[in-house]
Amino acid sequence: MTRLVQASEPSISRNSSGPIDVTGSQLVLSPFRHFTIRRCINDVTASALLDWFETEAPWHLVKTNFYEQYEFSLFDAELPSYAGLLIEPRGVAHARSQMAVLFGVEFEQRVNVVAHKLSPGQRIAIHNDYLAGEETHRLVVQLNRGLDDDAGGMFILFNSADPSDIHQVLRPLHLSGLGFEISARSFHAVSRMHAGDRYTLVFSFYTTAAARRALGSH
Amino acid sequence: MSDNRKPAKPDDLSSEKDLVISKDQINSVALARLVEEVRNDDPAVSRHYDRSYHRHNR
Repeated sequence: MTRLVQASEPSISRNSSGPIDVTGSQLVLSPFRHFTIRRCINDVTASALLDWFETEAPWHLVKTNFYEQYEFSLFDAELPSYAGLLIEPRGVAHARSQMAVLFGVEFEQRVNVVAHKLSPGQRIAIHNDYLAGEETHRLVVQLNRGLDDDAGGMFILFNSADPSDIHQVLRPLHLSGLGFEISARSFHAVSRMHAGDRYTLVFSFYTTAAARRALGSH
Repeated sequence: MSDNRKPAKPDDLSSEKDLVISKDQINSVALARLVEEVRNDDPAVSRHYDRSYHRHNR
């Protein structure tokens, strides 16, 4: 069962504390609203998470008809102390407020944070994450010990549902991030892993009903 | 614990690699492999999405 975080509305400041920082990112409109950032999590938190992911984290394998990966919800786990702020109300509120500013929307209090691990042979086929009335925005944070291009695990953005209609490819660079608005057009995938382990934190956000009506979507 | 653990590369942020690779930077062979690796055999999933995927994101 996943706990939903209730946090007070934060002030928005580059100096406010929180392991996640996406300030300064530039929103791109095509092929769907998104941004990329080379560094969006602090070193101490990232290092603590990686150590934990590689030793005691409660991974469980999930297989479906279009992806296979290890995963778990951070709200169901006992995080290492240096990473705890990720899911504490203050840290969650900090990430949420930054995403809200970037996308120009208002989010509900609830946020979900899950961890994913892709190991050699695993991949996530093209999909769009879209479900009406569900989460509306994601932030994906990459964590790893360094992956060469030959290792795979590329995050791919598409212009359409056609897998050959690639818009651009993102390397899974340690500490980097991708934020995007979920819609019927937000087609993406992760190429097959060939070596190493690729970890990600996936934050999910929910626009308020008023914001959804204003946008005429979701 | 894995025997292959090593510290995250300290020079990652100042490194040579760009985060974003445009499609025209990828050779045709590598591009074809990427497309094949992410092909979805169930087109209904990409159109309507499978709720099973969402369950793990909450």
